[in-house]
Amino acid sequence: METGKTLDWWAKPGRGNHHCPVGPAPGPPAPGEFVSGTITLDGIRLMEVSENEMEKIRGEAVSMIFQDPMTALNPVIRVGDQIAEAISIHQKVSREKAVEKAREMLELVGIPGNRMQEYPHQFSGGMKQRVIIAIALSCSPKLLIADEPTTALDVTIQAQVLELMKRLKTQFKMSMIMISHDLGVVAEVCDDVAIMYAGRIVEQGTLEDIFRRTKHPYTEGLFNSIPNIDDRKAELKPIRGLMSDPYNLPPGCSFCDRCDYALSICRTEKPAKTWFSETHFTECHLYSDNPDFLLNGGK
Amino acid sequence: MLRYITKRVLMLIPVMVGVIFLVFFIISLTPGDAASMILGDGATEERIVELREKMGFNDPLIVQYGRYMLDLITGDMGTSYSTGRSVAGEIGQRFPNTFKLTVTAILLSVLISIPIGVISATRQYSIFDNVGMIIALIGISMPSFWTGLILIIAFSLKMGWFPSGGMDGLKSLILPAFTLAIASTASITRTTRSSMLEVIRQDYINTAKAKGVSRGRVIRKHALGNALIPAVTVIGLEFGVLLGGAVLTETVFSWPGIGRLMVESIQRKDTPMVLGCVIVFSLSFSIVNLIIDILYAYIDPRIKANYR
Repeated sequence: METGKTLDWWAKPGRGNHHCPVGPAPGPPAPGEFVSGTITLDGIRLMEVSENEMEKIRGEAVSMIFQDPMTALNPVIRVGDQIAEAISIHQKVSREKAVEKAREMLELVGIPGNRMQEYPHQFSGGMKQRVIIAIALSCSPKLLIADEPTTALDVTIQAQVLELMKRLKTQFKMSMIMISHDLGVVAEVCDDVAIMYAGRIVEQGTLEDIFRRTKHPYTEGLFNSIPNIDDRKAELKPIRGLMSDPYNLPPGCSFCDRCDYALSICRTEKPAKTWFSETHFTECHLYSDNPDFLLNGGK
Repeated sequence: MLRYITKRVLMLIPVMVGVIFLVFFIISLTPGDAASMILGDGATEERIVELREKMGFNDPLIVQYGRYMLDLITGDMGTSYSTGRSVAGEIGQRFPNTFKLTVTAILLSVLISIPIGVISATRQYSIFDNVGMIIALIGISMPSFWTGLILIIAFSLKMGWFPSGGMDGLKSLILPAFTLAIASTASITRTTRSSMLEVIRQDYINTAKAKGVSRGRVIRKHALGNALIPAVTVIGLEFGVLLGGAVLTETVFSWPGIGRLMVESIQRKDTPMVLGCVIVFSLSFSIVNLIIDILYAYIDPRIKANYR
């Protein structure tokens, strides 16, 4: 990933997307396990460093914003102290300096500094998420992982928080991985998009690639299931069928049971990557022989 | 906060009146005659009748109750039927002993149980956890008189390290304090473990880890503070129970505390003494509860916000 860019990690809710970026999280919970692949951050192979080194990386190089701001702050610690803690762990500064920096961070996310003596229960949901953003950014991380940061917020607050994140991303010159299932949010914030299905990236490209030159039938299905604002009477076209059991995936393409274009090869063989440009690829059999294949909108 | 405490202290008054009322009538239902108890076996029938009249035992119960309450308001808890000494004086002598025993026992169990509970939770299903929980289960299941007897057999009869009873310096405190501590350690450990298990799965623990907080500090600073509320509740309840309920242990170790005093007084149908003990028990239990509630406010700011 390049510095200063935002990648969206799109996946179906509750289907393991949260377990992919292992940056700050301590690896996938049982029965999950790493099958293959590496995670590299600025040349450091994260899966090979010890837990103690990982603690230094977390919060300093990689930060994370969680899904539900209502539960993500410790209810018995003052918000100012929760921000200052991150600072004093990673930077060799005095306690007063850390508190002063915490106040600055709080003001940076638009909360008056004199509220740092308060506890999380005295803040609204949007303000809590701002506090969490302040914590995440307090050590100027290189990478921010945002796990559905606005899902639990109402639409107005959602827009404010996204705006704030976009502004701070530029200000802090950091990269961001945004995990989301809201394509509206994705269009708003992201530069690159990776669409995940059943634990694999099935299509990846720039925002333009994904939204304008959609290749994978799953991606197309996602767009079809968004209500059309110009034609409110139009029926939604959901992707048929159910997500296959992640413990027992089919031998071929995981999506083939739900795919309108499925070929016989889809049931037996895993598709390989087909590249359309330097940035855009998909894993789908439709393109392996015929890269010019066009999706017909599922009609 | 001050208003809340005042309110709670005022609420003690109806509680105490109710407790005394109940106990007064329950004692009157027990068989036996206080007058003949006071005069002993050799007393003549006339003297018993005379004393009954003089002490007001023939008046209706409600009148006797009223008389007792009036005396109580002026600070007079009456005199013991069996020893003739003032109830307040006797309790004042015995209560510090019970208090000493209780505080030692609770300190012991807190020092043992909180670390074990925390370690068990952070290493759930490890050998430490399994062994710890089995020991805790055994601890809960053993009645204290039995634990006491076993400790006496082992450490005073066989080893001769500690005296088997009585109150004579620090050495005599250890066995009864341990006996009491074993039972409460077990329940505090289990409570700490389960609340800790719940807390370490909370989102804010992940937030703390994502900040780069070290594992030890996550447990000490972020998890323990939140896990303490249930633990403090149990510690307080155990403390309250021990303050008045160490009857068996005090008897086994012939510890001159208030629990034993009450048992003896019940056997002698010494109504003023029993009532005095009950007042002290319920008062100390209520005060301990109040202290727990105040502690909550210091542990959890959300609770403090509700104290008005």
